[in-house]
Amino acid sequence: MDVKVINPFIDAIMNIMPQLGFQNVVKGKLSVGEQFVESKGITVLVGLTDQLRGNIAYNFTEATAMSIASKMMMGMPVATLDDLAQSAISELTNMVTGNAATRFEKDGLRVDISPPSLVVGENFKLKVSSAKFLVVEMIADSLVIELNIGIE
Amino acid sequence: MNKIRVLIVDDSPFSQRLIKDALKESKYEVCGCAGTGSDGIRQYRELQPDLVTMDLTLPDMDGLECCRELLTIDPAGKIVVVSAMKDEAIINRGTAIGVKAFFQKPVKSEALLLGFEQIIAEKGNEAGQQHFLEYFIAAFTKNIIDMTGMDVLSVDHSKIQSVVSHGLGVVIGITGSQQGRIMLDVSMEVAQEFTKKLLGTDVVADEDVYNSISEFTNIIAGHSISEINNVLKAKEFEIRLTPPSIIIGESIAIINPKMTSNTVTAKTAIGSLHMNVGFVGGK
Repeated sequence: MDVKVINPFIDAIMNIMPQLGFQNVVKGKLSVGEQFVESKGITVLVGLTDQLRGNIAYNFTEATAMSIASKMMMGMPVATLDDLAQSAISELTNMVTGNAATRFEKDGLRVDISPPSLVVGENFKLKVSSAKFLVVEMIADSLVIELNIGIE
Repeated sequence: MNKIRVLIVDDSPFSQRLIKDALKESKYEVCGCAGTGSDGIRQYRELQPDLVTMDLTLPDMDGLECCRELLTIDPAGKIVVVSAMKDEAIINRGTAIGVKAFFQKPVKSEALLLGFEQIIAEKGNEAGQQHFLEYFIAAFTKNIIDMTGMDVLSVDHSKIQSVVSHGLGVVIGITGSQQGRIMLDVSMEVAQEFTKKLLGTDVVADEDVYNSISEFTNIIAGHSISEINNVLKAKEFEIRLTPPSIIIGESIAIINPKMTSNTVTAKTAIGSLHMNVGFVGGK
């Protein structure tokens, strides 16, 4: 897998997070994962198909997901990951993946994305359809979003 | 599978013929043709069709007037207008009455089929969801039997909002003209026993289990979507699948906020397999 596939996702986050009210968005650690993505508590899966096939697992702690959801809803307090907060997080990953797909398209790669599946629970892990995947941390106002990108 | 029954209300035998041809070899069947509004109303009461195509210029009344009468009889009626005229005023008036879609003559088969598909797949429309689900249930049971040699003892399904995993879940995204998700969910014990049946061996490693259940899900999804694509016919309405992801863990909630889904449980000699299918409607 070409490491360059992460760039459209990084650019998408850099582009979208400020629109949602985040001030400081930076790239954190980059690594290669093998076999399993260990969930931090909330993991959102979005599938890619057409000229690029794979899965993205967006990984958050519950506290981070709630803080992001709160910011997205213009500061509304979020005490539990209720329906509204779930919908906000799911919409965030949809926006980021959709934005990345548009960037791929500009580079000549047609990409179609699936609706997000929000996976919530304790102690679970995931396989993202490729044995090796790229892991990049994005930090928005000290909140860490981990992207696990597995492309076939 | 029962065909979806369509009543055509149009005074032109030529137009009736074009609509019949457009629906040929599809899951729709024309159950009646009426040449006047009053005959259309009479046949609607008698035949109780699933869908109606309505011309706007009828010898005895205005087509939209006829739509309103039909919707007074049956507020849940699904009517589309197929006429030579299609302008903003017609669409606005028709929509206000409760017409679902507007097509201009000569209507193209693909356009009409996709329009019908979207109407029956409308959110909250149980009939539409049930209809897609049938393809998945057929592929699910057939492949359990074909690939393992086991019988399916019973099949139940229920409509639910969110899924809680039993141990091993395989998620495949659905995209293209329809958006959704299929998920196969089993306990780890059932996954192991099922994999033994699939591979015909007594010992299986975890890796075999993940790969086999994932591929099994991929096959069910592939078969179901191929059948649906055959119905939708045209390339631009094609539905595609994203590759499988696997979720490992118990009591994990899988949530798709915009989706209402159906869980189908198949009981076999080694335990139950759960398949969850949900759509969020067309693009």
